[in-house]
Amino acid sequence: MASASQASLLLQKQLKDLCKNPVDGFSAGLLDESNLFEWSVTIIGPPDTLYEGGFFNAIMSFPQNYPNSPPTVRFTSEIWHPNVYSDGKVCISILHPPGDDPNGYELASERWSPVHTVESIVLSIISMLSSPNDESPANVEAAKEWRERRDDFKKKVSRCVRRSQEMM
Amino acid sequence: MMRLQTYAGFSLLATLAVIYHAFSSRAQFYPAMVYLSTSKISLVLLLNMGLVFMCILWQLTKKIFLGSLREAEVERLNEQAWREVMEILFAITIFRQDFSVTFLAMVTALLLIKALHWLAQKRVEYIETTPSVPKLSHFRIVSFMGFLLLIDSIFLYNSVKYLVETRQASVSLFFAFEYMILATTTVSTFVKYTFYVSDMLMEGQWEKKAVYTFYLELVRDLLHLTMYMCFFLVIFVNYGVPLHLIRELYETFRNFKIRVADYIRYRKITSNMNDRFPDATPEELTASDATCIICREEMTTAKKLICGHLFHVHCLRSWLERQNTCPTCRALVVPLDNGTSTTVIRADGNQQGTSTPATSSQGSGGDGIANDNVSQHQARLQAAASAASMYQKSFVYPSPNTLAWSPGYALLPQTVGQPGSNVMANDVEGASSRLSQQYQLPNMTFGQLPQSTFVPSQFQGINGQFGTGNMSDSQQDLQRKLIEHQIEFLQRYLQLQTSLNEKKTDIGTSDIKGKTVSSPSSSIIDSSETGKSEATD
Repeated sequence: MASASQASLLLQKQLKDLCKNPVDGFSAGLLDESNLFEWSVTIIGPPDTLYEGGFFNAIMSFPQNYPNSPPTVRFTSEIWHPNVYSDGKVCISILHPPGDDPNGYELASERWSPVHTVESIVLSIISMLSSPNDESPANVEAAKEWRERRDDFKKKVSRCVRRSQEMM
Repeated sequence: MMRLQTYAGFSLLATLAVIYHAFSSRAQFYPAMVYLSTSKISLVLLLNMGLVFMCILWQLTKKIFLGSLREAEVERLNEQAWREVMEILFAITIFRQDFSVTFLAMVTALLLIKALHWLAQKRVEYIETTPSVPKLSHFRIVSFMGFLLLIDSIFLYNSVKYLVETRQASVSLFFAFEYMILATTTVSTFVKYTFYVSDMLMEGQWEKKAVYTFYLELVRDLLHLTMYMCFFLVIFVNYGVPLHLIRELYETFRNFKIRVADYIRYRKITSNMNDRFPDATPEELTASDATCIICREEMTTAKKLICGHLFHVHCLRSWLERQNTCPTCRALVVPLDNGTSTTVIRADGNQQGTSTPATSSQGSGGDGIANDNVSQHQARLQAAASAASMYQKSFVYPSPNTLAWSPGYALLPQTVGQPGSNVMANDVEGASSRLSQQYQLPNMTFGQLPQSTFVPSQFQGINGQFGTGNMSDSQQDLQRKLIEHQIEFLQRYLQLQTSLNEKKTDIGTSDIKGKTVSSPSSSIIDSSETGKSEATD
């Protein structure tokens, strides 16, 4: 119901803000200059975590009725994490539309709200990297490894980190 | 593109070869023609050539009107094409009596035309979401839609003409229907596009656009649904179950259902937007730095939710269509109702509840206040009680949760400020507005959170408030003190109430319950008492 022009105005504003006041830990911009609804984000692996030193690229796609519906975020860099699907799609509760719980784990209060911006979403993803939630994993195998064979998990993650550095 | 060229080249060569062979082996024109149209190999090659022609025409149209496709468009094309091919194969089985070369050609043409329609839709969507579109693109898409509509009408006209002439169910029915659907889709896409253009001409200030778009889609879906139903019935009567239609019929139906539900909800929310939420005062606007958190634009006028957060009226509306909570603190958005009407309803509900054990504690919890109110409320209570007994069978006792959402709880400050005082239902509004300034924050939390999580949730609400960062430290401190004071007060009050209850357990219960619940100011006691009784259970 919300018009597409409202969404593009809002996204434009956020883009301008992020250009003017960049936030530590990630950089964001448009994937294609003519399309405000597809963002390209590079997340720097948060220090003191397994992902430290990695540069992970992700694509953020906004729906036309943003901010009433959440965007989707997909890592294009290879990443091994319990809350990231094998195709790179990020599974965190704030990106799930209200009233629709695919896994039955989340409270409505943890889901999408129109106050979220590119910045707040990316910050949530960064905090997801530092503290995985293995309660409702998107990548079951990674969650199992994280819980039971931490060494294997670490090895896989550091491989991802190395690869992401090579790609830069 | 390369592939099509090679394919077209080979097809042309093969066709030329077979024609050459026909003319060289049969000296005259007529036998050569007979050979070409009877020999299976030559027939296949000729048909293949026809297909190549169509594909080239399709590519040409695409090049003229759309240029190169974007990735998303190609993706959609592939995805839809497979589904559509499957469905057309189903359709062929239904119309197998009419199977002929013409039919095959028509079906292929239909498929290609449909593909053009998908592309047009996708392109319009793309144009709508792109901030700066060159004039040429606009011109192209408009002429493209005109072109599509023209094609649809021509095919539709031909099919209908044929149907009218023969007066017999045939495959033309299928085509007539398909082109009818396509034509309506094109028209609706075009109208949507004009909405977009007019919005752009008004520099994005056209607030009604969303509403019109919504109505447009509603009408389109209704139209499609009726068409699908009619066609389904016609085919069913003449041929048997139309397998190829089931998916589309179902999807249209589901879309329509969702839209109608949306519509109802939308009406419910927007019909009383203005009355439901108060306008923010200029002071409140300046206090919250006047930025709408949804669109991050400045607010000159705003609506205030019960939790105190401010939003643009249109931003709030578009969010409330999805979710009935405050975007900032997620408190439930409860409408401000008329005090008197709710009193009666609540009385009915609670009277009914006398049979359940949970209410007995709830009812007696309010004695202190109820007793004082006896004289004023006697008549009202009797009416309520009789009404309740009349509706005894039809009423379901509301669960604690439903009670918690009911507007009565918004009246908390009254109880706190003047415990045990006689507050008439009629005074309620004035008194509550007088006090709500003072007790704004706790009022909100009590009004919206389930009573079972009484104290913790209150803090949650406060945290939400702090998280917004709109308040200065001194304000926060003030609020905190206020709440702490209130908690303490409530706890004492609770003790007082419990001791009172113990003394009064021998008083006739049903009568008292009626009194209790009829006074809206007692509701908060209800809630704390119920919370307590749950805890002790």
